[in-house]
Amino acid sequence: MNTQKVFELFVNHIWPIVRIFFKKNQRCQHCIASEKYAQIVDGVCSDCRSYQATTEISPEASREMKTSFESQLTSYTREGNYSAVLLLSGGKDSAYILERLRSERPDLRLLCITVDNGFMSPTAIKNAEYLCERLNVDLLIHTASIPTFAKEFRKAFQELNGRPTYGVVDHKDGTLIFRAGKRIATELQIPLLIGGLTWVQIQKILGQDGFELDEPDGPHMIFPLAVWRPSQEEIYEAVRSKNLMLPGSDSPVVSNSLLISVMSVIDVLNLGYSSFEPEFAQMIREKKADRKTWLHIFELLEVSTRKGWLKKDTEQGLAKLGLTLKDVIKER
Amino acid sequence: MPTAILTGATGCVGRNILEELLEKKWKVIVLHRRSSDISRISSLPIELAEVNLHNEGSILMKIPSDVDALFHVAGNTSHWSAEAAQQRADNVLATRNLVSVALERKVKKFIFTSTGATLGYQNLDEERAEGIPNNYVKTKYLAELEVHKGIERGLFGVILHPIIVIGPYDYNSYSQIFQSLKKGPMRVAFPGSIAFCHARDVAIAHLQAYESGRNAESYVLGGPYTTWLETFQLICKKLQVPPPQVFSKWKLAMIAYGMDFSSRFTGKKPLLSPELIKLVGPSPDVTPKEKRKAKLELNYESRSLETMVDDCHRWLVHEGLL
Repeated sequence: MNTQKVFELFVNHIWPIVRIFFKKNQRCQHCIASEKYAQIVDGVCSDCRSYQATTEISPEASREMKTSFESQLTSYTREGNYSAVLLLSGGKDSAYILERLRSERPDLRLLCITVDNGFMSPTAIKNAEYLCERLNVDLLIHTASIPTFAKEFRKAFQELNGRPTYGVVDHKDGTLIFRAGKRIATELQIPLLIGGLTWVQIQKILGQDGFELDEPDGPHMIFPLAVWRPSQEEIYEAVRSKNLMLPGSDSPVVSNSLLISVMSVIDVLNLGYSSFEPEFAQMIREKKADRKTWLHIFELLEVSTRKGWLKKDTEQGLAKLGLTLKDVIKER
Repeated sequence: MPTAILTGATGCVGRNILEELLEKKWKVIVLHRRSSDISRISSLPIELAEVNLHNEGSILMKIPSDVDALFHVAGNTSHWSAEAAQQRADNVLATRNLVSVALERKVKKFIFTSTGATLGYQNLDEERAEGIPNNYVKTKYLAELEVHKGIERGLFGVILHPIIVIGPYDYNSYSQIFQSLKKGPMRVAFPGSIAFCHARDVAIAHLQAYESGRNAESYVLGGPYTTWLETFQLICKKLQVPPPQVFSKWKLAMIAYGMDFSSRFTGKKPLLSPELIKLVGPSPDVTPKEKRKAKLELNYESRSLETMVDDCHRWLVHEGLL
């Protein structure tokens, strides 16, 4: 049984019982933000306080966004040719996007591209193949950039300097995946690129609202999750009920990338919290993710990192890039 | 010629703003305390007005009625608990008085320099803000609330949150790092990471806040986000001294408690205090949303860390402070 499976078993069944016996960081009572990330006053973190002062997207803005999204999709429908490239990661979010686009927009001819960054779990690739076969969509698995990813990841980790991995390594991962997708779409003269970023990721990574990204060169980029805004539960439910993934690979704990766990451990060692936490905290604030599940996941991640239980796997992940923990945890 | 009132002109950010104002041909009235070292600015083409910021009447007498902008930069940045009461008066009472006078004199825009350290406490009311553990952060946040109260009464106010400001005209803030690293023999870097910004870019952003900042808005002025260690290493390289080592927070805390204890007898402010050490450690970077807002609305971007270190170093050498 691999570490992720053990982690899943532990987080769902054992951790909820034994967690009281472990010393953990204080976390916001509304979301899950750690005291290491946000100032917590009277049990509430600064992000939750700010969130209460703002509002979610208004129904009018939401309607406007949906109309614009639909009309854009229509404008890219082309007889015989591919309408769009969909970046399929082999994870739950992109599986949900593909299924929903297939059922709601059968007029779109999609080409799925799975960009292998060298850290994808074998299950993720199998999932992508399985889903495309089931939904009768063309799939291209792009492995040619693995050496570039390795070189860039190595550089990003070396230049981490105690910064959160989310903004450095994960950002690099996203940039390279989009670059590969854009290049293929341009070569095949496909005008639209569909990505799996959520509205929270668009805000946190790109610093803007909306669902699209218009860059001067290459295809137009859109992000359906920013329009649909489904909860994590809706995504899991759709993935499970419609058998969009291979049995046993649809748990919220199981990631499609081994890099995520490496990054999370490094963050906990450098910062005291995983830099993926703010994104999930935001989803919880918006009632799009279950607090208890993610609280337990991040608590267990924090404790297992401190106890050294994830050290071996992290070292193995870093070794793929020719790095050691010492190279990325410079201050300890 | 537009007229500006400026407080804190003898400090790093204030002095950079002063340079920027003069370059842009503003008429500047500098409000200063009796104890301020005005020899640093007395040769400049400005009007000097001695005031007691703790006394509203004293300020009222020195502010004319045709002021375009009041840049309130002065602040007590001490992290020494022995100065808590003084700090509250310097930061909260002074801001309350300046806001009140700005309303009375119909100052067109009030630009307040707060700190990045208050960002984690936004949206707390006054009562809860009293629970902020660090006195500097608490009093700066309470001062922000004073500006907001003024805004409710009709003031046009903009609040700026620079993070770690490095650059020329730094007489007694982060320039002390240069001096202590030069002096040795113990060269110690803080743990954690934070955003650094160039003093001149922060100054330019203040003028831009007057030009295009929106009323009641806050802007975060960040810059290159990196470890204290990298910054200290850069400084050491510039000074041609051996690189520093990072001390863990608890080690620094031990040193700080020792310094704090001895300062009770000497009456001399400690270089490190337990309050300061509680603030160091990993701090989140400025969010992309905040960066975008500052860029779009204030055209703000900071220069590189290397430039900050170079400029600060050059100025310290020029002033004979290194």
